[in-house]
Amino acid sequence: MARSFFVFFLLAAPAFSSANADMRETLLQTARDRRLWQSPYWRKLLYYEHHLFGGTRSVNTLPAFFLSPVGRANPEAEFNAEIDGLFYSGSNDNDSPECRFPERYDWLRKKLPVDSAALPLKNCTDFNEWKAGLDPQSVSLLFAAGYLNNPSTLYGHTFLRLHKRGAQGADLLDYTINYAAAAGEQTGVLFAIKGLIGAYPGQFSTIPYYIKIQQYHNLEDRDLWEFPLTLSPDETDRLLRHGWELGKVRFPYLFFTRNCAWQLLPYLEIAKPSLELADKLPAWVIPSDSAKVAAAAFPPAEPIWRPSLWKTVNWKRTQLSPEERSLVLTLARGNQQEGTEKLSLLPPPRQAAVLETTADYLSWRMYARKISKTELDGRSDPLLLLRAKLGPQNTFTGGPEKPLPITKAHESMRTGIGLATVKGAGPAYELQWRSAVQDVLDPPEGYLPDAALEMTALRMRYAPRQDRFYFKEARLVHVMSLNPWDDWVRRKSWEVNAGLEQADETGRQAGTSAIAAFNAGSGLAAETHIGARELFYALAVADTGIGPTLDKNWRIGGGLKTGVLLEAGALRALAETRYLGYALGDKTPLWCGTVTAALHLTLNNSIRLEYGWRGEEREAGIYLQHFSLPPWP
Amino acid sequence: MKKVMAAAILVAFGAVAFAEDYGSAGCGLGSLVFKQNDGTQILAATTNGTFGSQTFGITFGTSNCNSKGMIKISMARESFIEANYKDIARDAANGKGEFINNLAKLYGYNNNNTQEFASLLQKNYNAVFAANNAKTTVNEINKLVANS
Repeated sequence: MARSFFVFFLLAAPAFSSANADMRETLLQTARDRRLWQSPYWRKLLYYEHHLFGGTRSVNTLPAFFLSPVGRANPEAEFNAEIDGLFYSGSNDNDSPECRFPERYDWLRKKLPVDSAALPLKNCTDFNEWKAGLDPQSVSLLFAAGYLNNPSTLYGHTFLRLHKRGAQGADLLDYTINYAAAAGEQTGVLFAIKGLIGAYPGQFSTIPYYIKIQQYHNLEDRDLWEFPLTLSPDETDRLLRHGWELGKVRFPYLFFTRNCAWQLLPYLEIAKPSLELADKLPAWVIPSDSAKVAAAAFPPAEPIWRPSLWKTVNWKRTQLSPEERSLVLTLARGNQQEGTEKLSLLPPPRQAAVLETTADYLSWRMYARKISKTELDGRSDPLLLLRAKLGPQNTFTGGPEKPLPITKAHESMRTGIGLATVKGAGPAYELQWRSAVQDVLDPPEGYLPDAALEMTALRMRYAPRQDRFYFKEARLVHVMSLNPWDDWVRRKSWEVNAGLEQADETGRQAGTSAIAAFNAGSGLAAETHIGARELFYALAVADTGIGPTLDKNWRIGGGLKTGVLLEAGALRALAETRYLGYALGDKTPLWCGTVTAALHLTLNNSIRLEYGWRGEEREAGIYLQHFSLPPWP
Repeated sequence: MKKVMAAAILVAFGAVAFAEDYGSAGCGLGSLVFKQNDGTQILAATTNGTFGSQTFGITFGTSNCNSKGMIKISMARESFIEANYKDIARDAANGKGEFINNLAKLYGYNNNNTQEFASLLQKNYNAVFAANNAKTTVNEINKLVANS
């Protein structure tokens, strides 16, 4: 079918000269003999994959990416159309297939005996100008650390940075290559749904690095990690040639699978075919895993860290005396007139230090939405002027201590086995699986501190005495952000939870009271250093449960959750209690808690001891946990 | 499984997602639009059309971009100053900093004489930044650099 359509197209098209027709026939024949349209590299360039229902299909949905009208599902037709493209005779070279798809043709000319006298290279001025504007000397992979306040970016983001040749340290003027979903201004539930089902198109773009800095460093207060990728000049050229092609691409963007981080991997593989990245990761991948795998595929290099805005402000605060810190607060939040008078009593270098910290703190306050731009300008403009009048001063040297990068963090997936003993029911064997990425007891290095971020955390048990399997817990989503109270930040702590749990307070036999529960809490946390470090928290919680084991099959209520996290190096311990009263449905109150100690044995192995109570039920267990890159333990 | 998870996530995050008043490109979800009432500038990165002709506009329209989606050389300074205004003002007040160093490069300074540019801005801070307006700032800096 394709062939006859193709022949028709051929007859309908402007006639080839006989010399060209011969050349074309030879090329087509050679391509057929060499089965070039089945070449793995070429298929990668066109993003062909085995389709669910048989056959091959390109992931790209935009017609302009293909040269053949049936190119999406017919690689052979697409390949033949590419050969035809060599004979483009339009007036503007930039519109020729060769100039629109430079990498495909660079590869084609190596694989086929194209007569470069009869078919000379086209003059692709657009592409060349674009390349010259970017002119990368080297390429880095950037990883923006996760950010709990924006669900679309919980697990971080990755993009590429092109270091412009001869930039002499003018970092911010570099360009980036970024893969993102074009969701317009959509927010809310529709945004979440569309992202989950792949309704957004994903596209590549080149955004100046300084825009990325404004977004990640300022607006979202995130750390940026830069991993240098060693690419040879040839590989960099290939990256650019294919990059130009990617402008004509639309992929379905899926939060969990083909997301921003994953889509960069095939691109890197095209630039450097010796990498085999995309195979190393399963379909479901989080950006930090993509970053880790990509970084690990290149020779190890020390990553560069750009601390978030808050981390910089926080560090400057540690460099000030208590009086100076108090002065920053007066200037930023209090009576500026009074503050300015007090300021003038300090020696000029200290005045400068206070002013610099105040200006940064005020900026942070605006980005954190505590003040408006008007207030920011109103307060910081006079302070900046004061600072300028002081002239050059030695204020701060050094910076915040660099944390461990994601490449030194534990792997994202956790599996576990254990043994529990349940009062009145005997032993239970437990199998655990948690996809990504951490709870409060997992070692936080490389991830977010004082936070829990878990998608799908299952605890499955087998109780031999009752010969029964059951889910002790099946959490779908668990996110917790503990923010130790800080007068400068004043951020609440919060938690969200959705999943299955055992409502033992109903008095039934262990493992027979599964309910679906959703809860959310908000409150405060405080940090102490009695031992090494302790974090106390209390949250006001709203809870709802649904299940046949509850009277009236449901309940809704509220209460209090308290907890204390102890950190002492490799040992971490957490004690949590919950008391909930229910106003509607099954009104039996809930009193439960756990005390857990976790010992971090190696980077990817831990052991936990847990004691828990819920209603009349008591249990104790010991669990061995192992972290690994998905999908295998 | 995926549907149940999706539902749970919606429940969990629907509320948080509503709270955002800008569409962040975070892990790429949403084009980069910061709404004006947020106090920050409007930065719109729209990627319609092909890579070769995408538009990338900053506050004063798409005139900053060339047909290949890159900042026009002639608008490089304006775009940089507009997008990074507060950071540049802060660095200028301090007489040093990454944003000043980068801006200096756009004005043709090199690593040896960047400090001159920084001092120039610090000494004339009021004239350059008092109006809190990118266009004024650009004009003032142009004047200073021309006369230096």
